[in-house]
Amino acid sequence: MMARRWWAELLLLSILLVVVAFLSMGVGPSWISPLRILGVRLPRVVLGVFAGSSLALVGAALQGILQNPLADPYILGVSSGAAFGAALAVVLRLASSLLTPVFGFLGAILAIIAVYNLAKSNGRVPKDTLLLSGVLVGFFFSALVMLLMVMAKSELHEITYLLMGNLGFIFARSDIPLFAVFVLLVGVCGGVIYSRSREMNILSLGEEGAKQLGVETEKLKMMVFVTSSVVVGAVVAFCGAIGFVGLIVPHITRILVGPDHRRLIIASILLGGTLLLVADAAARTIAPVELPVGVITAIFGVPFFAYLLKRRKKQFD
Amino acid sequence: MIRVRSVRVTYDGIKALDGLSLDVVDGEFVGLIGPNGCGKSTLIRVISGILLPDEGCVELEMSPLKGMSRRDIARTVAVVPQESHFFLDFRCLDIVLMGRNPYLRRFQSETEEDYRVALDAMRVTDILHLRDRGVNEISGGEKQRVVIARALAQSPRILLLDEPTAHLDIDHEIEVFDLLKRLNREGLTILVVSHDVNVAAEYCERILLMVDGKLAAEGMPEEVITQETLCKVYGANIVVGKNPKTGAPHVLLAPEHGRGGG
Repeated sequence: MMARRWWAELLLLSILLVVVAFLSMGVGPSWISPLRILGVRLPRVVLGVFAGSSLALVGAALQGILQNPLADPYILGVSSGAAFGAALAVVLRLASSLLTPVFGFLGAILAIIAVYNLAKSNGRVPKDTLLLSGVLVGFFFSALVMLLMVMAKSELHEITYLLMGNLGFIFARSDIPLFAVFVLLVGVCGGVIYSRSREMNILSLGEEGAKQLGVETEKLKMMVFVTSSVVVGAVVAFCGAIGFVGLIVPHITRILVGPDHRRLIIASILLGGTLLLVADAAARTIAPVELPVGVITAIFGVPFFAYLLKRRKKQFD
Repeated sequence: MIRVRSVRVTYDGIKALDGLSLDVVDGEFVGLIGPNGCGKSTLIRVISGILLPDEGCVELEMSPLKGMSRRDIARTVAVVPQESHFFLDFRCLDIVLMGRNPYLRRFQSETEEDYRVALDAMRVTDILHLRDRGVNEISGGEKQRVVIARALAQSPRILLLDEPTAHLDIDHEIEVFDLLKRLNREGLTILVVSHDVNVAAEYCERILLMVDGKLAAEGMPEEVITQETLCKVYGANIVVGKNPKTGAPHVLLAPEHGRGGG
């Protein structure tokens, strides 16, 4: 019975994603011809699904390994590293659009290495230390970004837009292979994360309990942390730091399909893409100017975050 | 069987285990007692491969623990901790199925056989009726039985329990130990840490008494739980009598300022 309900939910979420994707291609500040939809709005929808799904996937995985319901893809400092890399490319005027994502991605990798080495002691990475070093490295890279913003003149607007997160990346033909490589990379990392979902379930018993059930917890945390960071780096490199999708979606999904990561991750991927497309459609139509989608997700995300916090308190008091 | 030889563990400069040696033979029901901080829980963590000893060696079923993977260990030894916290609200059946993890490959999902073993474990521990209930909505006694069922789902040779009834009422405590006795009769080797000397005396065939990271005494309950030995370990304010119903040694309080004294 449980299995049949799961398949129904899966089907429903998939249909929802496809319907929203089609509808959002029809939504915009002005009417455009169907042919131009392909050129202008299709890449946007593809990017939206890519970013929303990836962030939700990583959110679910990180909440699992850090055993912290408030963890999100940006808490590990990786996004700040990516933002720094991308901003650097802008300031250095390397901005053939191809180099911005590459720099962004390199920034993310730099941040991962810093966070991981900072958190490691005696070959172990305690989850609280990992969180703390993530926040720390994040602050450092954010400060560097601010430094770049002070130094930048005409590029300031571009950097600001990058930081807020948006799906307006304009694909030149030469960007497509790079994007394809990133999608492939995210796909592989996503597969690695998914293959660890049963072990993530067991980790919710605590590290000692998980070890006693045969889980190599240090290896698990390292694998999920590194692959998650790569995914976040790839997303931020193209779309900037779109907040709150990775935090909220796993929570909504958990209410829908339960805590089992084997279901949670798949459902989060579907729902993450859907929600980001909805937010982006709103970003394009709500105001006279096009808003960065990161603004929309944060405006709706913060009250939800607050609600979770309140509910959690009630649960533990 | 468990074989521990001259194991030394030092935490923060304090010797938690100080050259400890002991054996637990197949099919035994052994109780480990001793004052707080004597190293009982550390020993459980060493035997289950959580903590590496600084010196000495541990063998499980004749093979050295050092060369075993976590999965190998989890197929041999299952651990029931004092208290369990569940960060995520899984169903009780899901929690018990987690005991099958050491037998599953990475992408494999639980087979019918795994479900059969898990449901059997739930039947034995009398929690079948809880299978679809959330693990955070049941009572402490029920939770502990879920954890024992999960341990049994590992199909272990040895069951280690670290004060499994410390947070339970007396009726639940008796239920749990009756269950352990039954499992032991069916061939499971059991090593249980207990701060409650009386319960250990009632159920265990053999008692190990630990003091300061070393074995201070071992033997049948009536050999270890004596006035002389316990006074040395716990101070003079106790009297060892006999349980009138079972004849097992029983520790009674004899406080200086109780009803009889000053």
